Amino acid sequence: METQAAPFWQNDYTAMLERAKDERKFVLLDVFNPG
Amino acid sequence: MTYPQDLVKEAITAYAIPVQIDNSDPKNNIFLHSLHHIWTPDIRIINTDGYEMYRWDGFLPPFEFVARLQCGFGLAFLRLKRFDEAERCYVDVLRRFSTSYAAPEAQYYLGVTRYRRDPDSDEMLTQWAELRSRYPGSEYRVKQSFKELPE
Repeated sequence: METQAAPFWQNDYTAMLERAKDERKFVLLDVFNPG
Repeated sequence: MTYPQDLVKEAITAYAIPVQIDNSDPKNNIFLHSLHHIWTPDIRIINTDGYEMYRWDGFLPPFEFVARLQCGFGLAFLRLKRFDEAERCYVDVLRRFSTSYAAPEAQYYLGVTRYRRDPDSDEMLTQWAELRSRYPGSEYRVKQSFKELPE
């Protein structure tokens, strides 16, 4: 069975800020328009 | 496009967790209003305290994107006084992306970084002299031009 890779882009900004603290990283925020 | 390129993905994940927000989804309206969002792509480097360390709007192709991103990480590290990491970012821009639009900024802030790490160093003036030589038509040359005025 194939395992699916985690998506590159996350969409939970608040949760990722917390994760960034743990990983001592920044958050790169990209606001986009799908059109 | 920019984001599928490995060069871009590696540059992003070296120092950041990537988060995308869709501005056409009404559930994001309150958050986007809090950002004073106006145009896409709207790209920001956010510190863990929520402070915006760097930002730009508008599409950039991969070469220009990575150079701009590295300048952004450089300034983010510099604001945190993580001078060695800031220096690495700026040196990387000047080595790999010396012809990019972001390169003069890297040259300018490389001098600032080294000066802030060691105020007795003459590195700021050295880097700014290099800036005048390599990027004479840049805005960053203007930003250091007070050093070109007669005493």
